[in-house]
Amino acid sequence: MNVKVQQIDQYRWRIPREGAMRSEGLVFANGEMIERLRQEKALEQVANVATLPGIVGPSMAMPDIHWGYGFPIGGVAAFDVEHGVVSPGGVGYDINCGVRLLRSALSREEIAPQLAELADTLYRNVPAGVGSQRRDLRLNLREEKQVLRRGAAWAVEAGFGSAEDLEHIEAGGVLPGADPERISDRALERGRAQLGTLGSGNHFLEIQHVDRIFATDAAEALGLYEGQITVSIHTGSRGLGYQVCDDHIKTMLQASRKYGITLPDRQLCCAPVQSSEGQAYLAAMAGAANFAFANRQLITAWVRESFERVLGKGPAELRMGLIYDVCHNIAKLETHQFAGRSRQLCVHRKGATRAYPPGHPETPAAYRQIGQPVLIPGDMGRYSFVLVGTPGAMEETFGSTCHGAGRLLSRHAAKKLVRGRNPIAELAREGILVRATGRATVAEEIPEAYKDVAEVVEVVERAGLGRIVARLRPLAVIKG
Amino acid sequence: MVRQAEGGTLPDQLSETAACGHELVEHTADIGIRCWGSSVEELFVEAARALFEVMLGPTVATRDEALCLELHGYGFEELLVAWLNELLYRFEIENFLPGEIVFEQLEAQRLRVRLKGERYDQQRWPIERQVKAATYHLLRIERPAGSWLATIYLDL
Repeated sequence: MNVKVQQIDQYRWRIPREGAMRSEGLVFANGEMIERLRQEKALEQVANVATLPGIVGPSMAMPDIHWGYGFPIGGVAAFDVEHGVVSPGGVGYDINCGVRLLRSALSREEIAPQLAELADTLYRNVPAGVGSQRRDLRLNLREEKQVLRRGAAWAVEAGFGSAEDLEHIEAGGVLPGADPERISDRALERGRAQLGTLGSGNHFLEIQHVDRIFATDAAEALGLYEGQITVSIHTGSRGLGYQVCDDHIKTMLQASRKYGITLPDRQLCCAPVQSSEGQAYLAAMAGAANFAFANRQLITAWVRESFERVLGKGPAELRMGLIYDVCHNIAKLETHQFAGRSRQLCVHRKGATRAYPPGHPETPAAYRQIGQPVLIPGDMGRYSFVLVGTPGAMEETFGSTCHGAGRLLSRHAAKKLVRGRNPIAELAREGILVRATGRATVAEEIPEAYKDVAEVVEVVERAGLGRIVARLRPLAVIKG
Repeated sequence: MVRQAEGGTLPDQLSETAACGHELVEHTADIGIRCWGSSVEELFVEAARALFEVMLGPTVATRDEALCLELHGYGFEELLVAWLNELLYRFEIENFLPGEIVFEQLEAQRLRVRLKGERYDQQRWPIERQVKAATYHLLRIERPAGSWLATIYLDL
C-alpha cells in the first residue's frame, strides 16, 4: 500500500482519508523523518488504525513513530466510549511499559569513585536475566491478586517506598476497574515468577546526571538542577502483561468476526468498548497495568537500598524522591474536549506518553503550575529528556506526546554495524558503564540504532506537544 | 541470513534445494521469522526452531524431558501463533527447550504434538535476546508451488 502524505506545516503531515479509513491520519515529524518513514510500514499502520470503528479525531503518530506490529509505535488513537472500540494490539504485549525518574541530593563528582560499585550492586539487586527473581519476594496467589487490584500502593504497604511516591505516579499508581478474575491462570503464573524484575530488550535501569536545564521554573518545581544524579527505570508488566495481551487478542479475533469489524491487519483486532469482550479486556489490562506500577515501585526500593548500602548514606541524605512515573503502552478512559464538546474516550497510547497541561486536576499539586512531567528516554550513549505537558497537547493529541527516540536501524543492521567493535568498551571510554545479561542486547541497542532523541523532542516542542525542561546523560546502564 | 520483508516472495532456498527451512526477516523494532516446509507439520517445526534461534542462537537440545500439547485455533494461521506462544510460555515457566517435535495431529482447528527436549540451562545456551510474544501482524500462510510458507513477527 502506497500511503499518501500531505504536508500541513513544518511538523505536521496529513494522511488523507481514503478507502476504509474512517478518519484521517496525522503524523508529527520533520521532513527528514517523513522521508525515512516512507521506507517502512509505519505510515500504512497509521492509516490502518484510522479504519477502526468509532475513532474520534485523527489516527495520530508522534515524532518517534516507527514500524510496530499492528499499531505503529508512537501511535495515539481515541475511540468513543459508546460507539467505539478497544484493541489489545493498540496497547501491546508490554501493558503499561513505562518510565520513572528518581531525583537525588548527590552530585556526579560525589559518586564518581563508587560508580562501578553502584552499577554492580544494582545489577545484582535488581533481577534482569531469564528466570531471575529476588529470593526475598515470593507471592502467593492471594497477594498477587492484591497487586493487580492495588498497583503501586500494594508495594508501598508491603514496605517498598513511601506514600509520597504514590502521588507522583500517573493515575496514582493504580488504574481503576482491575479485575484479577479476568486474568488467566497462566498470566498469573507468569506474573508471580516475574514481579520485581527488569526484563530485557530496551528495558533498562540507568544512573544519570543532569547536564542541562532548559526551563528553570519547571526544573525547580521538579527538583532538578545541573550536575545532579538521577535514576531512570524503564520496564513494564513482564510476562503477565504479554499473556494478558495474547489471551485477549484470541478473544478479540473472534469478537471482531462476531461484530463484523473488518481488519486490515489481524493484530488490530478489537471489540466495542461496551461489549463483554471489551470490558473484560479493560479489566484485565488495568490489572496488568497495576502489576507494572508495582513492579517499578519494587525496583525503586531496591535502587534506593543499593545507593544507601554503597554510599553509606541514609534516605534523608540521599533524598531519592520519585519525580514521576509515566505509562507509555496503555488504553485509558479519559474525558476530553473535542469539536467543542466534552467526550468520554478510550485513548490508546502505543509508545506514547500522556502529557497533561498546567492546571490539570490529575497533575500532582507540586507540578500543577508547570504541567505533568513527561519522561523521554533516549539511547544508552547519548541522553534522555524531561519535558512537561502543554495546552497544545491537550487540544491536539488528547494530551499525548512522544515516548522515546524510536529505532532507526533494525537489530540486524545494528549488529552488522558493531561487527568487530566492542560497544561496551566504547561506551566505557565515554564514561558510561554498561552491565547487561543478553549477549545480543548491547549490540542491538547501540546508540546508532536509535534516532537522536534530541531531534524527536525538538519536533515535539515546536509542534506544541511538550516543553523541554532538562537533559540527562547516562553514567551507568543496567540492561537485561 | 536476513532478508528484507516483502510478503509473498519465495525464498531462494525453497525453489532450489531445501524443502524446509527458516530465516530471519528485518523489522525496525522487532524481528520477523520466515519459515517454510513441504508440509504444514514441517512449517510448524521450522517456526519453533526459528523462535528458539532468535532467543538462543542455534540449539541442539537433548531429549530427556517429554511434553504433550493440545491446542485449538481458528485456522492454521492463528494456530501457528498460538503454537509459538505456547512454546514461549513452556520455556519461560517450565524451562522447557524443545529438541524433537512430532505432530500426532495438525488440522486447521486443532493440533496435538509430542515434544522431547531438555530443561533449559543458561550456561549451556546463553540467552541472546528475549521474545515477548509472537504477533498476528501481517500474518499469512502461503502455498507457493504446493509448499507451506509463513512470516511471523515477534515482539522483542
